[in-house]
Amino acid sequence: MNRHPGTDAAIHRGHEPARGRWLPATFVLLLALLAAWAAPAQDAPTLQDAVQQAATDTVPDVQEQVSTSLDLPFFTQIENEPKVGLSAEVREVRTYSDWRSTFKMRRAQSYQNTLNWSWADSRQQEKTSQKRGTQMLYNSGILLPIDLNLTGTWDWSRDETLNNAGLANVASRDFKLMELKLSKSKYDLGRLSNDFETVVGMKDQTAATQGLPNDFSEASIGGRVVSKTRVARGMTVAARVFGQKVGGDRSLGDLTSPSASTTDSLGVRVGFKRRFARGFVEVARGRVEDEYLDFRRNNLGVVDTTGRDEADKIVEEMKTQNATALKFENFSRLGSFSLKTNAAHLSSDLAYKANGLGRTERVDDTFTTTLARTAGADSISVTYDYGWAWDDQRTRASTTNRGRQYNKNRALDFYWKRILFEATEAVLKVQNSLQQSIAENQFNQNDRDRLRQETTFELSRVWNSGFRADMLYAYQYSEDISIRSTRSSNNTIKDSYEIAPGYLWPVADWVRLQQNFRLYIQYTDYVYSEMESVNKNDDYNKRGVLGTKVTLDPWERLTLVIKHDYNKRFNATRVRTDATGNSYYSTDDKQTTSKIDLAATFAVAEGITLEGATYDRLDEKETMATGAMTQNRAGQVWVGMKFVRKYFAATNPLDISCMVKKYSAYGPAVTETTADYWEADVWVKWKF
Amino acid sequence: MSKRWKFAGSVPLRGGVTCVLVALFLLGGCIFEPRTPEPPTSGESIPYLTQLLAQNAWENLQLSLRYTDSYGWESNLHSTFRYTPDSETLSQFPSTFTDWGYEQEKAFINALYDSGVTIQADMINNDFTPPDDSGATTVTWYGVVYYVQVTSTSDNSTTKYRASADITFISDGTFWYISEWVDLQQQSDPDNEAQLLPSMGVLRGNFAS
Repeated sequence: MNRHPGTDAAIHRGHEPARGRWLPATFVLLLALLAAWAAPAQDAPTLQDAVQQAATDTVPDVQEQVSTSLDLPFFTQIENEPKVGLSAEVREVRTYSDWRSTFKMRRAQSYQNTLNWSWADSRQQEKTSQKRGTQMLYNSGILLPIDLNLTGTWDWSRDETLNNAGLANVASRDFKLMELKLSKSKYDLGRLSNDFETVVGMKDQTAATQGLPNDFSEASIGGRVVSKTRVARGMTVAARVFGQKVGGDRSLGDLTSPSASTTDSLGVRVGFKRRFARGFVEVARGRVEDEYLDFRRNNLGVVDTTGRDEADKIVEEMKTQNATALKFENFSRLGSFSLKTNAAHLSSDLAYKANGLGRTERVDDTFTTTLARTAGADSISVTYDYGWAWDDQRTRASTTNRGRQYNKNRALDFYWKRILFEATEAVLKVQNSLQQSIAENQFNQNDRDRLRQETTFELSRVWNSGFRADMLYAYQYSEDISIRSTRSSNNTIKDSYEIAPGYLWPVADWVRLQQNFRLYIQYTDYVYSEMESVNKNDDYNKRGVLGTKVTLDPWERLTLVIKHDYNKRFNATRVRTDATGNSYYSTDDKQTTSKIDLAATFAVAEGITLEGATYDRLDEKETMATGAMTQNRAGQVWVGMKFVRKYFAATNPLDISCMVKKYSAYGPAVTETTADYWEADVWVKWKF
Repeated sequence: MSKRWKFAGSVPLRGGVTCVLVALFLLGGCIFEPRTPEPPTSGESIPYLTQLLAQNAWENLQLSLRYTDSYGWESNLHSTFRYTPDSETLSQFPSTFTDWGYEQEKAFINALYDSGVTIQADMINNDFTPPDDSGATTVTWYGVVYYVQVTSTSDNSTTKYRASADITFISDGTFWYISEWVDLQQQSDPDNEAQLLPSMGVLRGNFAS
C-alpha cells in the first residue's frame, strides 16, 4: 500500500475508491475494444458473406434488408434535440441544458449521445452544485451476427457548501464508465435454445471531499448463459450461469491497495403451462467475494475511527456473501375462480474479515395466496399473506451468536365489490394483520406485537345526469403491544371510526357543486393506565370537516373555483369510569378553522394562460383548563402565467414552455423564506 | 303491488353471502391473537406527546431515539413518508435511496434498535424556532439542525451524526405526521468545530446495505 500525508477530518466513508495503476485495467479494455472496432473494417466482405448466408436462411426479410441497405447512405437519420431551461422553487434555483443526438445508420445501427449540464444555487443554505455529463450508447443492429452494445458515461460534479459554523467543504467527483456487451439470444443448439451474454467494462473515479481522496480504477469481465428446453408438453426447463470478475485499485484516505471481486451464480427453473394452471419452480445459488480497503467499523458496521492512530484507521477487508433462493409461483383458473400462490425461501450469510459486524445470517420465508371470483355483479377475493424471517449475528469480538431476531407477519384481506342496482356500487373490505417481533433469549427489550383490524364499506352511485353520491364507513381497531415490562407501560388499544358522505352535482353545463363531510374519532386506551406508576391517561380525539367547492366555467376561456373548508376539532381526556363501565371524558381544547379559497384561470390565447389564487384562514383555539382563547389569521396570494407553444411542428419542432408564479403569504407558520418568493420553470427545446 | 328492487347481474346472492361468512369466520381472530405482555414494573413510561402539534411529532422522534422504541418512530411518520439524502450520503450510497419511503424507514429504525444501542439525541438546535402550525394542514421546517450520538452496547464504540434538514409535516385526521425529511448538509461536531459529522443518512445507508 502507498501512503500519503492525510488529515484527521471526519472520514465516515463506505467502500472507498482509490487512485491507482491504469495498466492492468486498461489492457483488458483495449483488447475488447480492438475486437469491437475490428468488425466495421471488414464491412464489405462480411456483407457479401451475409448475402449468401441470408439466401440459405429462412428469414427473407434479412435478405431484403441487406439488399436494400446497399443503396442507403451510411447515416439514414440524424436528429438533434437541444434543451435549455431555468427552474426556481422555494429550495433552489437551477439552470440546466441538455443536448441529445441520435444517429441511425444502415443495417439498423444506432448511436445516441446525450450531453447535460446544470448549475444550482440553494436558497436555504450556502451551497452551489454544478454537474456535467455525457452518456453514449451504440448498438450494432444487424451489422454483426451477434448483438453489440457499447455504453459510455462521464459524470462530473462539484458541490461547494458552507455550514452554519462557517466551515467550508468542496466535494468533487469525476467518474467514467465504458462497457462493451456482446449478446446472442435464441441461439439453437440441438434441442436447447440459448441466450449468451458477455460484458467487459472499465470504471474510473477521481473524487475528493473534505480534502480526502476517493479514487478507484477497475476493470471487469463477466458472462451469462441461459439455456432452455422443452422436456414435455407444457413443461420447460431453463438453467442459467453467471460469473463476473472485477480487479483494479482503490485508494482510501492516504492509502492505496489492489481490489478484487468475484461473483458467480447458478439457477434452474422448471416452468409449467397447462390448461388450468401455469407457473414455475426455481432454485438459485450465488456467491460474492470482495477484497478492498475500508475504514475500521464497529459492531454495528458504521465507521469508527475517532481517537485511533492513523495506521489503525484503515483495514484490508474481505467480504464473502452466499445466498440460496427457492421460489414457487402458480396461477390457476377454473371458470370464474382463480387462485394465485407465491412462495419463497431465501437464506443468506454475510461474513467480514475485519468489519466488527462479523458474520450475519438471514432467512426469509414468504407465502401469499389469493382466491378470487368474478362473476356477474360480484367480484370477491380473499388473500392470505404469511412471512417468517430471522437474522442472527456473531460479531468479530464475540465467541457466541447474539441470538435470533424473529419477525413474523400474518395478514388476511377480504374484498367484495358488488353492483347493487343500476349504477350503484358497494365495496366491502375487511383486513386483519398481526406483526410480531421476537428476540431469542431476550437479547434486547424490543419484543412487540402489532394487531390491525380494519373494516371499510363504500357505497357510490352515479346518475344519468352526472350527479354522483358517495358514502364511506370505516372502523379500525389496533393494538400496539410491547411485551417486556420495561416497555409495556406504553401499550395502547385504539378504536377509530370514520364516516364520510359526499356528492358532486353538475348543476348546469358551466356550474358544478361538490360537498364532502368527514367525521373522524379516535379513542386511545392505555392498557396499564390504572397503575399508579404509569403516567398515561386514556383520551379521545374528534374532528369534523365540511368542504364545499363550486366550479364555474362562464366562458370557454375562464374557469373560477370557490372553496370553503370548515373544520372543528375536540380533544378530551378520560377522568373516570363508573361501576357499569361507562367512561367520562373532560374536554381539553377545542379548535375551529375556517378557510376560503378563490382561484381563477384565464386562457388569453392559444398556449397562454393567466392564473391566480388566494386563500384566507381563521383559526380559533380554546383551552378549557385556562379558558384561554387564541386566534390566528393566515393567507396567501399567488399570480402567474403559463406559456406553452410549439412552432414548426411539421419540420423541426420548437417547443417553448414558460411558467412563472409570484407568491406572497402571511401568518404564524410563514417564515422569511416563504413570505415572498418567485417560482419559475422555463425551457426551450428544439428538434432538428 | 309492492315494488321490488331489481338486482343487477345473474349470480345468486347466496354464494356471495357464503363467501362473506366464511371469510368473516376466518377473520374472527383465531390466528391473529397478540401475546400477553408483562405488566410494567420499572415505572418508566415514555412520555410521548399527542400529535396535536407538528412540533410534538418531531419531539416524539427524539423520545423514540432516546428510549430506542420503534413504535414512537413508526407512528409519527405518515404512510407517504419520503427521505432524501444529502450529497455526501448519496456519494457513499448512490443506489440505496432511490425509493426510500415508509417501509424502508421502518425497517431501518427496527434494525438499528434491535442491534443493541443506546442513543443520545437532540433534534432541534437552540436557535431554531418552529413555525406556528395553527390551522395549517401542512408546514415545513427549513434548516433545522439535529444531533444524534449512537453507542454500541457490545463494544461501547460511539458514532455521531449532525446535519441540517428540511422537515415537512402534514395533518391527517386529528394528528400531525412527518411526511418528508430532506437532509441538506453536514454540520460541525459540537466538541470539535473543525470536524464535519455525517448526517443520519449515512446511518440509514449502513443498515440498509
